Amino acid sequence: MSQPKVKSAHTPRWGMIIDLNACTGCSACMVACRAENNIAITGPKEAAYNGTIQWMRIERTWKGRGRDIRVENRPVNCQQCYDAPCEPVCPVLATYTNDEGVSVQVYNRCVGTRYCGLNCPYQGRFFNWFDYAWAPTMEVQLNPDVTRRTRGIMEKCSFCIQRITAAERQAELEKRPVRETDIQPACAQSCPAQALHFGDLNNPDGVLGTVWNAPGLEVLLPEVGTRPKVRYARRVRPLRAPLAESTGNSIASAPEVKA
Amino acid sequence: MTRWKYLLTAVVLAGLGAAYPTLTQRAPRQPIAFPHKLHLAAGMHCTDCHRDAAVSASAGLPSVRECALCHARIKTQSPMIRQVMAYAKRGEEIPWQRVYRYPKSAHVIFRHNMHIAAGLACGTCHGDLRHATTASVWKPLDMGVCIACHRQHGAKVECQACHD
Repeated sequence: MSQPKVKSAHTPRWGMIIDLNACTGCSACMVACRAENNIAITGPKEAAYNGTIQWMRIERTWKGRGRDIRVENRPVNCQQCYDAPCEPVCPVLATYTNDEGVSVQVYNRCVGTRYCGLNCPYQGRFFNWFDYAWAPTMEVQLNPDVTRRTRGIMEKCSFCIQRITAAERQAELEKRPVRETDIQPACAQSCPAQALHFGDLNNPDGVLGTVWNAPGLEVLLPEVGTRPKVRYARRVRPLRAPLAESTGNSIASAPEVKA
Repeated sequence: MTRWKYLLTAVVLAGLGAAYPTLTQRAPRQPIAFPHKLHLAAGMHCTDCHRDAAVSASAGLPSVRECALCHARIKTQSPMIRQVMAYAKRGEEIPWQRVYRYPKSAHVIFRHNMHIAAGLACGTCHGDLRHATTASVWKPLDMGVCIACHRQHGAKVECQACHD
């Protein structure tokens, strides 16, 4: 029957590092993702039922107390797990990890059981409860490379698979291997602080390959054992001088003990 | 007797199933019966009008102004050309009806440029328009047709290659 296609020697495996030191929480990635992937605006009524669709969100957490309070912004998208909990529960194989390590959602195959969404520990999957309408002004800015999801379909971050396939098609036309610098998801492209780094994990000299196993990187919910392909560069704070005047309990202001 | 009835029902159902794409995909009526065969016989090429086929996802339809460019001089007395020129004079596009389309639920974006780059002739899917007036659904589009050809030519059969 069919001849298996001869694969090139190098198969990329796409991953992402999000640098929490650089992220300012400006939400440009969220907006860019929405524009790139034709994500529907579900409206306030749906939002009240937790029905907002946003493939990329920013989780804001507060740490510390009093004057020492600080905010941490964490962009969270689909974590593209190696052992994705969403995949084995799908009864129709509508989600699977492709050769290049991207966990993809096949919209035409999805029947909307929502098992995958329930099994995702990162809340990275979103269900289309209705056919959402676009305002006429929004209609003209829809991305022609991405289809519009219809009612009853689960959707999620695809690492901008349309950009990956477009780069691969271009490489195919130019008869050269695909370069990881050709590809940037919309979130990484829009990030003004360049906190999001996209690259090929199978390329040891690449953007990600050189630092992928660095000790400063963490994954979300490591105890779940999903092994995400998105890693976070942990926030590092410079050591501060003790607040001598305000608190009065530092070593400098401690009363001398006389013998 | 009943066995014959079952058999007959099975045969009819199988026939309907096989004919399903043909029954559901029909060429709509065009506002003007555009004679492809005359244009091709005159030495024109598909991409003279469907200009973007080799470079972009959609093949593209020419504007009525492009029709008017040539037909300002050619065959001006023909009743159909007069219709075309009337559209052009009104500044109105001819409401051509789409022949080949995927259902919305298929979530497929067909890319003409990739198929042309792979060396496929237009006629592989659209039929030989040298003998046809308006375009018809020459090859009904279902996934079996696509996959069979992809397998035969060693093209990608992964879901995300076509379904975005």
